[in-house]
Amino acid sequence: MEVTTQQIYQKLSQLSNPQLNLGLLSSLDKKLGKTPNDLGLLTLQLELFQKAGMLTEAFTSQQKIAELSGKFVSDEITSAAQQLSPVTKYFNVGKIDPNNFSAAPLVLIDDFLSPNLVSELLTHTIEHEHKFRMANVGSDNPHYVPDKRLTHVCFDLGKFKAHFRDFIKKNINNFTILLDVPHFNFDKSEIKITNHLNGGFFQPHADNTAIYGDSKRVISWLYYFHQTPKAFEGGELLAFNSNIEQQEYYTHKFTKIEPINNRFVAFPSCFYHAVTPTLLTDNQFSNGRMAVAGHIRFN
Amino acid sequence: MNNNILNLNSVISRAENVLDCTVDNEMVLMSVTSGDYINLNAQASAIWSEISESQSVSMIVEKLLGQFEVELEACQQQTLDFLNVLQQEKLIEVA
Repeated sequence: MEVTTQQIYQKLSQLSNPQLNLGLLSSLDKKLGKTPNDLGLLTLQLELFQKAGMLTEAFTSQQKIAELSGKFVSDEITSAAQQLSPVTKYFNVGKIDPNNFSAAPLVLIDDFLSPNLVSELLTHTIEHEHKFRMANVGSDNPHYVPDKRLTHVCFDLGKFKAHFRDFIKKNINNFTILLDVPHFNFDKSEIKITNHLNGGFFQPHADNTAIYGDSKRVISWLYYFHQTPKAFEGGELLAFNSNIEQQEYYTHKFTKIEPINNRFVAFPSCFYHAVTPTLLTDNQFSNGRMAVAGHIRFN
Repeated sequence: MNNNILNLNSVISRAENVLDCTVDNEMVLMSVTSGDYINLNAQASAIWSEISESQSVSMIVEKLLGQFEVELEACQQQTLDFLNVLQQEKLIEVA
């Protein structure tokens, strides 16, 4: 890993530290006790929840801010979320300002697959360990760069390829509504299984240079799964507040998505994101931080 | 008194727009306005603790001299330097 990347991760580790964010939230609670409807303080509370990966609390906080500001969630958004899943959470809808730093719109679905399917997917992945190789970086001229990324990848998903592909295709419209992406002609969804073993990471990057940039990727998505009890630490996805036009991102403003078993997450590909280093003491393939990962492409 | 220039007689208190907490024995401040963070070392943490109530800089220095092995002049200068940083970040109020 490059020294600069190590320094970034060190900073990100501090900023997403639960002890720090819970401490600051506690300090903020005292102020909110005096002025419970202060929109500035509530917005900061939402940011701290997002940085701490406390997404249930963030979702509630976001709804309170919307109600207090009179910006009620539209029927279209509610319906899109419901069609994806009854437990869909969505963040930062309608907040993209291409010329400014914006929080990444996110769709989050916990308990995505039935327990049987999760178990089958885990078994499939472990049985196909021999088909995994080190992942490349870059969509135009893919190449292996261990300083930027350490991910094992496999393109054989068996029956799960159709399962995920069909879900994505059926819900393109819902994703565009919830992720603030203009309608587009669907081409296909790239799809693969990844596994992060000890030291696995993916440094901050964006999967496209604009909403409709050259890589053709519009929406990036991940489905996390792993052995239970979990054998690894880290491997969190950080989705950074990004300036799409300038292709820049804030390292101190982000949403942390923990790789919880059976969790699906999607976001616009042009938003910068990173995967924090995984700590896996026994470094067993079967105990890794696994994900099905995909990119929805436009035509 | 000119609020832009701190001296030993300045009376300091915490601003409203700041959050604080302790992580692994180190204090961290966060500006509510900018969202910026400041990590405090032991001496800076002691200063921040002192100004939970309004205090003059000279009083803060006196208390620090009782806690840290430091010369008077150095302590005065370092305290003023740190308070100047906090003032620039609008994290303190100066009476």
